[in-house]
Formats: sequence, structure tokens, C-alpha cells
Amino acid sequence: MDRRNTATSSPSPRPGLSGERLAFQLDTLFETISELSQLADPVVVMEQFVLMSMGALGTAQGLLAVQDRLTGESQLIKRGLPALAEKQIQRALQILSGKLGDTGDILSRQALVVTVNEHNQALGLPDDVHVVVEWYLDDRRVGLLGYGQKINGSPYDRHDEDFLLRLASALMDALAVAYVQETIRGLNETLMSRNKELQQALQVSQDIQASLDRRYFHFKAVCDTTSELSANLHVSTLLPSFLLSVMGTFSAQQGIIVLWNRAEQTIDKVARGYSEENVPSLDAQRLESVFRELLHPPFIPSQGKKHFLILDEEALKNLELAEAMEMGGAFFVDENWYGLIGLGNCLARTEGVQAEHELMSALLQGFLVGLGNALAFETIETLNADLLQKNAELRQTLDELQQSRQTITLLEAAGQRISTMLRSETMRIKRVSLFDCLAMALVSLVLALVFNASSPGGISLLPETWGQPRPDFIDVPWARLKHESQGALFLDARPVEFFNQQRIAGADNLPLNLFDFVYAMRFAMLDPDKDIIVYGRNISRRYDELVAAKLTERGMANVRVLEGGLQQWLRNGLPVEP
Amino acid sequence: MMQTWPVRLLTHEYVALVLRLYIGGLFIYASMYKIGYTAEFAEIIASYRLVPYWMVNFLAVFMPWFELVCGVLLIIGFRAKSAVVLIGGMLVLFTIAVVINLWRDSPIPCGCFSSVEDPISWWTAGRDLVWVAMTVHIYYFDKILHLENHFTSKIEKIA
Repeated sequence: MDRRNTATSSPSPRPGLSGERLAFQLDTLFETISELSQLADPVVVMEQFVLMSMGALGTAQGLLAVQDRLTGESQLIKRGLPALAEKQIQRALQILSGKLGDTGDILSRQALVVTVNEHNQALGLPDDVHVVVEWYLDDRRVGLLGYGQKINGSPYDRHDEDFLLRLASALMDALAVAYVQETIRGLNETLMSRNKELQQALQVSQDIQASLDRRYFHFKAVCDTTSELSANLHVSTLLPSFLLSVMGTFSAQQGIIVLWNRAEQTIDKVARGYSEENVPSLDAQRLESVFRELLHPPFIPSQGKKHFLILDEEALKNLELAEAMEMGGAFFVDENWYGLIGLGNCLARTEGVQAEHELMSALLQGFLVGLGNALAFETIETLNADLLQKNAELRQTLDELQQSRQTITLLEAAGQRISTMLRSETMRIKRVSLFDCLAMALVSLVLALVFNASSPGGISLLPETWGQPRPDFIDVPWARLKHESQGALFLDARPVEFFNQQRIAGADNLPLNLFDFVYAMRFAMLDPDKDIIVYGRNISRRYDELVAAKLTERGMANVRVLEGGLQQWLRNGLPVEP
Repeated sequence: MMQTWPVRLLTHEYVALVLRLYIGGLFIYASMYKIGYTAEFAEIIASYRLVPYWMVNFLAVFMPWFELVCGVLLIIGFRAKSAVVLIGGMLVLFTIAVVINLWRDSPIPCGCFSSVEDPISWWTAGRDLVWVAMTVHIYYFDKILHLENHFTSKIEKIA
């Protein structure tokens, strides 16, 4: 290598150079610097530099090559050189770059003329290149500047070399500025693209945030509805609660929910936002047709299938459930419980249909869980009520059994007592009883008294003598005198059998039982003043008093009764007969 | 211990039934006349000279009905034990009365069935004693065809 001249930043003009030429070079240099300072693209700088420097040097051939040692990229500007020169120039750049790595003594912004007016063999550049300037912009970029022979055929002199170094210096300055600008531009572009990406990311983030907000709202609505429904275990309150919750979630002004028990043909219906005359009428027949249209007979949900069906506005319109329904759903718990829900006049429907359907699906899923729980709870309550009732009945039955048992015990005791009484009674009536005897006597007495009182042949229960005046009595000694003097008629009043058996001597018989007959036969003609002494009495009869009374009644004035009777007569040893 | 057939025959319940019907009928028959002729019966009682004079009429009214009731109850088998005891008691009293009057040598008719009968005799007392024996037999061996058995058997079944 022939290093002829070098320049760092601003070489001073050499003495001996003509003024015109110097002025021309300075003007050219000034224009070049001015021109290049306005350019920002290094390639354009290089292209412009090559053209301007060729013109200033008066040559038709020029090249400018630069290589980035870090990236290995190279840039080549050539004018008037054949296409095959590119490979040679590339190889020269490789050599130059390798040389920079070997020496390590190259300063930044350094340029040196390595060949003037001859072929540079060291770098292997094309033969047309007569001037070669190596320039080092910094540790990273190195380059070659080469020109062909002058058009006028003159060789390059030292002034040209100086001028060339100044141009190279101007080029390096412009390139440095251009590279800086390019770096800044690149950074700007990177920054802009990053900004754009950041804005896109921000947009995506905002979209995600909105989606998250929506999801959160949905999730909160589902959570609120589910928590509200989970605490509600009665169908009658569950339906309006769910309907209001769904209406609130979808900002609906009208809503209706119907629960149909297909087995028992009962319908629970709750409507909100409808006037009384506009409430959709849904009877069992209508619901049958609706579900026959929505589902397929026999309405039995298959395993693993969804238990609800989201109905859009079109489907609701086809079902003709009510006017202005915008969203709804059909659901069923099992083969007996079916339901419909419909919403109308939704105020704010900003979300997509898919999101609304998802929300409605989530709400219906939660509702179906709550409804299933409520129905199960009602079933449990019914079973519990039945169980309580059966318990009460059982307790009552037990009480009745207890009472019956007590009654049976009492009855058994009473039966035992009655049995004992009956047995003793039967034994008693088979024995002789004083009571029976007295009873028989009493009955006999009553019958006797009644019969005696009512019979014409009845007799007085009291002795007749108790009702008569006391008769006159005559004692035995006086009667004896009467007997001995036969001054009195002795009458025996006893029955004839006793008279015949024994009597006072000379006495006549006038028995009481035959008084009328005997008196009429024998004593009717008796003197009424005749002394008559009547005797005859015993423990059982006072014949003497009765006969004396009868005689007195017949007009006998002197009738007396023998005191002591026949017994006293006998005791006195007075005569009797037979 | 096996009883001999004469004993079994004599103590048979059918024998007691026959005796029961006989004694019951006898008392019913005896009461008929006495009820119809109370005054005559009173004289019969008085003729026995055993009853105080203030009680004669009362007994004449009461006794026939007492005999009738006892005879009827004995026949139908209602309180038959008590009835037969009362009839037996009456027969004993009658027998005593007859014996007393036989001892007194009273020339009185029995007055059992009518006021016109032969005077009492030892046959009368013997007859009454036989009737007393019959009542004893009835008391011990009479068991069948009692009206009250018709009820008591059911009661015994229930008890």
C-alpha cells in the first residue's frame, strides 16, 4: 500500500496552488458541504457526493463504498464503472475492514489517500480506479472512495489529493450527520411504531377492560341472582324474585314468568309491567302447544342436555306469547315442571346478542338450580307435613290405644267384679236366704191384704171384741149360786165339738159360728129379762164376749160373761158334764 | 265310693222334681180354699188354740197367700230353696200344732184343705211328717227344671 497523504478533519490549503483553482475547490467544497448538510439519508449523501466530487475532480468514473462492521452490511455507489466491479469493491471493503481489525490504530474521521494515478493491487480494485482514498468514519464504519482517470487525461496532483481529502472529510461529516439522523429517524420510526403498538395494545386493553366489565357485570348479576334465589325455597316467592332480578339485569320494563305443572295441570304465573288487561293469558292448553312447538314429545329431558332454551325476539314473536317481547327462555325441571320467561321493552341493549344469550343462559341455569331446590324443598315440606300429620295421627292412635287399654282394664275389672257379683248372686239364689224369705212373706202379705180388702168375704184383721163395749161379768161364786138356784141360763159359746167334750152341767150350746141359726131355733122366744150367763173362751177366741154382745143386740137385758170361764169353774170343782 | 242303686234312685233329681211338684201343688191347692173362705179358716186357726186371739184373723188372711206364693215359687223353681224351707217350716209348725192338739185331745178337724174334715189324728201328724221329709228331700236333691236356672246358667257362663 502506498500511503501518500492523509487528512483528519480540515486540512489547510497548500501554498503554491493557484487562486482560481483554490477558489474553485473551496467553492466546490462549500457547495458540497452545503448540499450534503441538507441531506439526511446516507445513501443519498453518498450518491450526491459521488456526483459532485466527480464533477469537481473532472472524472467520469467514481465509486463510494461503505461497510458496517457490526452488521456486515455494505453500501456501494459507483459511476462509470462496470457491473463486475462490485465484487472487487466488496472484497476490497472486506480487506479494509480486516485491516482495521488488525492495526487498531485508525482514528475516527480519518481519511488517507492510498493510491494516486496507479492501480491499487492491495485492495484488488478495478483497474479503472486511479485514486483510492480509505476513510474511517468511526470504529464501526469504514469506506473506500475511488475515482477513475481524469477526463482531460491529466494525472492527479497533490492539490487534488488535498482536495480529495477535504472532500472525504466533508463526506465523513455529512455521513456522520446522516447516520446520526438516520439513527434518529430509525429511533423515531421505532418509537412511532412502538407508540402505535402501544396504542393498539391500549385499545385491546380497553376492549378487554370493557369485556371484563361486562363479564363482571354478568358475573355479578348471576351471583346476585343466584344468591338471592338460593336463599329462596318457595316457588311462590322464587318466581317473582327471579323475574324482577332478570328484568333488572336486562333493564326490561315488562316481564312474565310461568311455571306449569303438567301432571297436576297447575300454573303459577307472575307478570310485571303489564296492565291488567294486557297480561298474557296462558292456560294449560296454550302451554301444551307452546312446549310441543319448542320441544318434542314426550317432553322428557335427555341425560346431559340443557334444561333450558333461549328464545330470541323472532322465536318469541313466532310463539305469539305477548306483544313486544324481546328476549325469553323456556325451561323445564323434569317431565312434569315446565316454564317460560319473557322480557319486553328492554331499555338499554348495547351488548351483543351472544352476550345476552350467555347471560340469560347463566341466569336460567342458576334459576333452574334454585327452582329445583325449591321444588325439592316443597316436596320435603309436603313429606314433612305428611310425616307430622301421620305422627300426630299415630300419637292420637297411641293415646286412644292407651285410653282403650285403660278402658279395657277398667272394663275387665268391672267385668271381673260383675262376674264375681253374678257368681255370688247365682250362688246366693241357690241358697236359702233370709232376704228371700222376708221378700216372699212381704209379697204374700201385700197380696193377702189387697185381696182381703177387696174381697166380699174379707174379714177384719183386728179382734171384733176390741170394737165392742165391755160386757158385764159375773164371778164364779155368784154364778154358782145362780147355777144352783137355776136362776140363770148357762150358755156355752164354744163350737159344738168342745161343748160336746166338756161343759158346765145344764148349759146349752149357742156356738158363735152358728149363732143366728141356733138362736132362731131355740132362743128366739126366750124372755128378754132372763138372766143369761155366757162362758167359753180360749187363747184364740173370746166366744163368750161375742155371743153376749149378740144376745144384747137381740134384746137380752141380763147377759153376763162368766169370769174365768170353764177353767175357773173347773178349778172351783163345780159340776160339769159329761 | 259308688252308691247303691236304691240310694241313687231315692236321691235322684227326678224324684226330687216329682216331690217338688207334689208339695208345691199341695200348698197351692190347700191355699185355694183358705183364700176363698177366710172366716172359716180363721175359725180353724182359733180351734187349734195356739195363736193369741188378736192374731188369728191376721194369720187367716196372711197364711193362705203365704202358702200360695211358696207353692208357686217351688213349682216354677224360683227361689226354690227358700220356698221349700218355708214350706218345710210351715209343715213342721202344722205338725207341732196337730201334735199339741192331739195331746190336748182336741176334737178339731185338721183344716188343711177344708173346714169340713175328720178330726185330727196321729195319721194327720204322720202325714205331715212325711210331707216334711219330702221337703227335706227336695231341699237336698232338687236341681232340675228351675226357672231361675234358665237365667243363672247363662249368668254362670258369662261369669
